[in-house]
Amino acid sequence: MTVLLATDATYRLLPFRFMRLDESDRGLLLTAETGEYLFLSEAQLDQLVNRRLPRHTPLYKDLLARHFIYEIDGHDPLPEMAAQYRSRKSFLFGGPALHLFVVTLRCNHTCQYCQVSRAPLGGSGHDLSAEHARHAVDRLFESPSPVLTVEFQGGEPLLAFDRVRQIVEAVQARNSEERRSIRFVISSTLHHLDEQVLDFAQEHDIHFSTSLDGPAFLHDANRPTPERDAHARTLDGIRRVRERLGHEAVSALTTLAARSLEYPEAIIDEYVEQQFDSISLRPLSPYGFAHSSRQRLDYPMARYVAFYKQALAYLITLNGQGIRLSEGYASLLLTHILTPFASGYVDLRSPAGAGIGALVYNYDGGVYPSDEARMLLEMGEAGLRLGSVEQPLETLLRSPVMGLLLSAGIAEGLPGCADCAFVPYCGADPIEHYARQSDPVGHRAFSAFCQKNMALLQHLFRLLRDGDDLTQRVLLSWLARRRLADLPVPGYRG
Amino acid sequence: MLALNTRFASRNLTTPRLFKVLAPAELIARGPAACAGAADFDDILLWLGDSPAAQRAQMSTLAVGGFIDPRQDDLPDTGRVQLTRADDPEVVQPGDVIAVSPDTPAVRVLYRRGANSNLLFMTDRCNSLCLMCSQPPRDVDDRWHIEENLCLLDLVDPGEEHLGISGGEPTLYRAGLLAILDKARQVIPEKHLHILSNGRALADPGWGAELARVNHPGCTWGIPLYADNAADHDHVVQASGAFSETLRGLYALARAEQSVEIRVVLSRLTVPRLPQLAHFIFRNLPFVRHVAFMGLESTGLARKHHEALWIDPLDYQAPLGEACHFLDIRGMASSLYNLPLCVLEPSLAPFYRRSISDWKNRFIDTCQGCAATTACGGFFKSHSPRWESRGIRPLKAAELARYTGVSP
Ligand code: SF4
Ligand code: SF4
Repeated sequence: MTVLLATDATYRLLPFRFMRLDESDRGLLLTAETGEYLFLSEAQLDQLVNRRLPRHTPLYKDLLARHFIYEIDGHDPLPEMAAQYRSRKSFLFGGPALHLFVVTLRCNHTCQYCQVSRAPLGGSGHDLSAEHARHAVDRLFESPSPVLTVEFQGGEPLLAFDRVRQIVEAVQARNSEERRSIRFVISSTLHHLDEQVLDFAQEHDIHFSTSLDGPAFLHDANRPTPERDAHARTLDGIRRVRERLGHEAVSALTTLAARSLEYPEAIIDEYVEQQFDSISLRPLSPYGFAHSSRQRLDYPMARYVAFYKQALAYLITLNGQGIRLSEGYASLLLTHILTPFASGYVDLRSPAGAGIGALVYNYDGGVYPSDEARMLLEMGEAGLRLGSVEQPLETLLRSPVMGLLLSAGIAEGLPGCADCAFVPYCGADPIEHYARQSDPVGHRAFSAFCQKNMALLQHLFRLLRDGDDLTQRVLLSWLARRRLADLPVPGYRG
Repeated sequence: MLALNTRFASRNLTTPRLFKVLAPAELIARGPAACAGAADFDDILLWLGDSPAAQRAQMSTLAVGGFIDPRQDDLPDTGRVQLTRADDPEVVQPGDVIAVSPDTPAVRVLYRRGANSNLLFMTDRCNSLCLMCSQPPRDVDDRWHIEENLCLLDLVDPGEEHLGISGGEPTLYRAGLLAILDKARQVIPEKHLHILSNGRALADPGWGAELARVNHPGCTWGIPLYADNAADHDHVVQASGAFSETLRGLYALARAEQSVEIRVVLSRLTVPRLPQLAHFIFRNLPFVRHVAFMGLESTGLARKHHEALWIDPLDYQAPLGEACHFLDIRGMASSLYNLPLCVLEPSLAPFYRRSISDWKNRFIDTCQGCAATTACGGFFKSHSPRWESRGIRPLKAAELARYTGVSP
């Protein structure tokens, strides 16, 4: 046997970033351009960058295999790096996949923080016209994406159900030739769910997404109706959807008002009670009416982060007891951290998902790059409109607004993000920065988006590094979308 | 297991050629249509083995390529090819395809009806020299295998089954391999092909486009990858630069939308970074359909490198478990082959496969009284004591239940 000794050339560094998590001997997080990561000690980092790492050690091989270093005259890792990079950014190949149709602004709620601006129930001039809807369907099919999601938004879309019906039927008729994979979702309080809606949903395989903010006292406080029965009516709607369309046909989102932050466990218990298998704990966004009543409703991101950590710990405990309930945002971040794949989530993309990944057709015929962008309109900022639904997609995506967003939409090039170890997992959100800081680039030090992702990513990385077997298994079961019992051991931690 | 070679006495054989062996009933019922591709009566060797003497005389007038009867000393001479007096009369059976030559009494079975390990053998040559190679390569010009395999494709049985393509390194005869894939697509598209290759040659530009052009509907490439870094992999395959070439080859296969399996032979050299290798495969080669982890076969070059290669499977259950569970959780299928069941960590039972090849599944004295002999993959034919785990012990029914999940 010949012992093959690689030529004695030294190694070179590949681009990587690092962050100090703590003072422990694996306190430094290094992330490679591919999103692969390693925990190192201060001394090891020092050896690494000064090219004094001894060869043939496990650490040396780890660094080679994960594309932190390469050997001159040795193996060229570019094909692997390119493959991973291509896979992580694969969302770029498809074009806009998420198409939001704002069929009406009318709503029966008068939510204090309303995420979307609303008009009173009987208001007029707040509905999408049939003509505009026809154009919007044309735009949908101009997207090259083989997979499309058609989501109906409001207001309360069930108040404009004829329009929903028209759009679903037009999309399906057209799709008999186009043969794309299309999913329909209605975002609704479910208060206006009647047999006619259920029949139609059943016939066309439509899913529902509703809001459930926790137990009645929180939900009803968040979502006032004249009858003060929002919670009860939403639960009734959930039950009816499940009876008719199956348990999986409805999912729920949580909106967290300042008061909600005191009740992580009560909110989660409500989701367990209602037999959901996923919960999404989102902080309030700075849009819609939330902005004007910010004083009362808004909260510092640090409070949200503390809430989130508490909630996550409680979820892990519950999962360990055999209750299957995952947290949506953590599941997304784990996909970004632990796999070479893109999650498809539009708000955590670089290049930003607005416009490139999603389009919003507003009730007035305007086209926006995201839901938030059109809410700015309701707040008096007409600036982020791409154009009219009558213009071809190509023209809309060439609008100056897209230029502005994209020039601030590549996280790898943004001040702060460019050097951040989390940039492979994070995203760029020029619209949020525009909304909060009046500048699409924004300053990371004052960015709620950054504060949130920085804190949650640090927390997840600590759990991945230090968490016990149960914690690992629970997080991995969320990643794998499998029952905890199917993961008897966590396997290699990577 | 039956050998694939024996010797016959032959008569009237003028050129080397292949024959399909058919029993009279099948010949009458189907004629050359018993073969998958273009064949005529001249390609058929009529099996007289079980026929009463009276019928023999009658049948020997049939216009087929010849006659075969392994147990007869002689047949009446009809001027057609005759094969008689086999050294081992069991080796050739009706349905088989055999290769014969006037220069030698040796008869090779190229295709055995109903076997699960039929193989198109491409060449003895190889561009690597793996430390554990079970069939050490030889530097010969054996291009004649290409023509032989092309003929063989016509004579195999029609119908679904797996066919292996192997060597040596089958990609070394590029045009030949492509011709075989192309013909397989036309003649036996229903048969799944499993190509064993080190993938190095595939790094050469052009292969991908050619594979895409041939567009075989069902073939899988089994490509070995022994480490997550070049130094370790190149050492195992004894060829510097091999890691880089194999990776480029794997990407070429992915671009040509070929189905790819990674094969890892478990040895002292590959086990220490097995979890890291699993990580490398998942991150860099997510298109891989299946990862096969295989116990070492104590034959060929492996015997020479016992010291460097041998590690008791008992001592690598931990890294093996980390690798399999890592891949499983991430949705990548993996399987364990060629391991005795009694050494297996029970959480790995879902990945355990009983080897199906005909030359495996042997048992040793220690196995006597073991409840697992129908679940266990057992040992290779070549097994010997210095390749034996200290963990071999007959399992009781209750212990077996820990693996199968079925209570006794
Ligand atoms: S937003 Fe913050 S956490 Fe995200 S990449 Fe930029 S600096 Fe890092
Ligand atoms: S003792 Fe049983 S389990 Fe072990 S190798 Fe023999 S048959 Fe297999």
